[in-house]
Amino acid sequence: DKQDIDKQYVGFATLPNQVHRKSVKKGFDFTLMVAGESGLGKSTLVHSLFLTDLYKDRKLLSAEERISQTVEILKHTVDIEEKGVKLKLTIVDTPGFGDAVNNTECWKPITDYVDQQFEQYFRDESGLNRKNIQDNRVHCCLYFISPFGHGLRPVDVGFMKALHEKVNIVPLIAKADCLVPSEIRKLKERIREEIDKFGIHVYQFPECDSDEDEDFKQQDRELKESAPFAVIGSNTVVEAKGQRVRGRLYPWGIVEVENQAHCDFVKLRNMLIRTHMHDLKDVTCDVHYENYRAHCIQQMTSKLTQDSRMESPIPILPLPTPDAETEKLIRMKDEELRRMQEMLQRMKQQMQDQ
Amino acid sequence: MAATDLERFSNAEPEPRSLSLGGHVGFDSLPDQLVSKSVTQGFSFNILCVGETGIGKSTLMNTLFNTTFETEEASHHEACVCLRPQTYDLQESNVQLKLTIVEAVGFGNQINKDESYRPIVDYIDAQFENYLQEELKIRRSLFDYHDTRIHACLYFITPTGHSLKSLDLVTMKKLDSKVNIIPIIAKADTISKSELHKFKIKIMGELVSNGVQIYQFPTDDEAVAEINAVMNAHLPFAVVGSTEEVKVGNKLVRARQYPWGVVQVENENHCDFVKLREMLIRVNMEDLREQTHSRHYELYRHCKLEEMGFQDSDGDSQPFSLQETYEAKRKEFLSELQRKEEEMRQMFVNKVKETELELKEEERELHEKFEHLKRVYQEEKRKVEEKRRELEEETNAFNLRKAAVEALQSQALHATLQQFIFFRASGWSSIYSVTIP
Repeated sequence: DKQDIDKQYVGFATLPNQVHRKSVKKGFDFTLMVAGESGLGKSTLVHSLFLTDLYKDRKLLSAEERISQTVEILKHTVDIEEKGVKLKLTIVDTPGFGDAVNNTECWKPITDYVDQQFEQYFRDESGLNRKNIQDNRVHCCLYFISPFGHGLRPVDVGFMKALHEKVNIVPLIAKADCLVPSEIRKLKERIREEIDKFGIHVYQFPECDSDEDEDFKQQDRELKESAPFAVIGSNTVVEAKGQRVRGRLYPWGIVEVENQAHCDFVKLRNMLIRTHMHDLKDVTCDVHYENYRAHCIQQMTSKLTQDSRMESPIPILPLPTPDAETEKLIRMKDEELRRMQEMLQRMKQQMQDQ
Repeated sequence: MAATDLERFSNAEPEPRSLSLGGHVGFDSLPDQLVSKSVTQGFSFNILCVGETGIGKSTLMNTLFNTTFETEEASHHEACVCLRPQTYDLQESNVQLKLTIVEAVGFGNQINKDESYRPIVDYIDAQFENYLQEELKIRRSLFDYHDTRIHACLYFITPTGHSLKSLDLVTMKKLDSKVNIIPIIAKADTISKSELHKFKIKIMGELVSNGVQIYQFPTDDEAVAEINAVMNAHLPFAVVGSTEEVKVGNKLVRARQYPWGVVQVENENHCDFVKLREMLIRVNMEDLREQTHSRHYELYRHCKLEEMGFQDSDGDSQPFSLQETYEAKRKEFLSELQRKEEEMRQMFVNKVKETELELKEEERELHEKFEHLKRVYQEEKRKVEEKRRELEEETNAFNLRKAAVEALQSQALHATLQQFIFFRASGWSSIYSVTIP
């Protein structure tokens, strides 16, 4: 029997394993951007998520220095490994966002950065040597919303609207240990309403297939209903109920970061790292980058038809809609070419005859 | 006895002597009289709350005064900061308090917060101005006046754990010379004890290094000096507010219930709410009112009057009374007014004259032109008349000539005709006769 089955067995069911092996060998990369006002716990959360301290020697500005501060973009890249799988993790920090007294268009340096990464990738992709393209595109942006207010603020709305077509935005409620459960529910509802009201497109979790098991579907539902995640981060490990846990020690109790009843940190970590990391990359490549590329090309062609002296960054430029004049020119040139070819043929014939 | 007493009186020393009493006179009831008078009058206290929307201002007020002030939740999308005062009448024991809570609605929401402090400063100044106007009135009723000057400003600091926000620094600098600022760390149940200690030190450091004068609890009154000094060291107070009650042990206390524990508002281990209440209401409320009147209001009044041009004394260092100065100013102002009026009138008269001259000029020019044109026209007419006459003469001459020629022609014709007839009549014999030309 086994031999019969073996004979019918083709063997391509091993493809996933082959993919797995190759990808482990190649390694992965992921670029995560964190944005939000100062003091909302961004660095602490990144520390808790990836369990490495990226910010050992950072200098915090005083209030006076921040009055007219501009937004900087800082990149930290680390190589981390787990069970043989290598991850090149880049965290893009945005210190100074929302900290000055006048924050008009303070998201501009950030949108410029994201566009720059797209442009860089676009050039690399259209280049001649494509072996070692570095993908620095931002795959996900964690946006920290302050828990001290009643919902989104104008600067939050401005930022998200400027970036929602360029990057996957995952909004988070920061420092959620200042909200009791009923307040968290109210705030989440309020934020969801306002996201709809202002027309902001945040990252949507993909629908799970109908043939997945109930457990998975249940988890997926819970995940979707918990957005935006209310998170708490911690740099310290404390002792609670005889166990050492990552948490915050208060006189009235201990907040455990990984306790699902305390906050949504676990959900965020699972979503970001354990289940949806690749989907985030895919959406960045397939949707945001493609949008950028199409937009870029359209702009270039419209510019080219106006000004033919401009140097195009890519060698071959397909014209999407050739107008009548160019068509005529093309036809003429074609004719000329044909005639010359005929002449060539005749000459060849003559030579052969001789 | 009376004589010697009188002598002693006439050689009285400049300083009053302290005498001991032989019995109980009874003026030790003066403070009580004062107190009962002020109790009947009632007290007024005005608090200004400045902080981001949602930071817990209304909740803290409710918790402090153990009641529910009806306030609606503010939105984050207000275009500018506006101040919303609400007055409440409270009573405890037999003491009446007219409490006004002023909230800076919309503070900290805008993207551009450069002008956020201005409405607040303007409001505080307006209250000072109202009081000043009342003080300067001829018929005034200060005892009856509802004092709306801000006695205390609670500045709510966001618990970021790092330092003050840039907006906080800018705003507090603008307010520190106008009002008693009491900074508090809001929603303090999000900071752990060690972080709180560092945060407080950082905040006080930043305030000191930027020269911001916050309200210090007074340490000159022996009765409260010690407790005030201790409290000064705990600034800024880290508070938590709540109007909900939770059962802890066998009591219902005001608290916030988290999955990991219960934060009790009145537990000094959990937050500084009790300290704030003690300092703000139970110990130093009267001092706050006094400071507002004697320091901040006086400063405002001083600046305002200086602006208007008043001085405390002129060159001879003779003290000017407000009345004299006012009269002098008034005279000056009126004379200035008159002068300006004269000027304007003069200017007007001049302008009228000018315009008149201009118009006259133009009239004359127009007249001249008219004359000139008339003359030209006459010339033309004359010339045309001459030409016409010439033409007429020529036509006459021509007609005459024409008539003459015609007459000649008809004569000639007649003559030829006669000749012909003569020829025919005389036969052909005279063919060779001379033809008559």
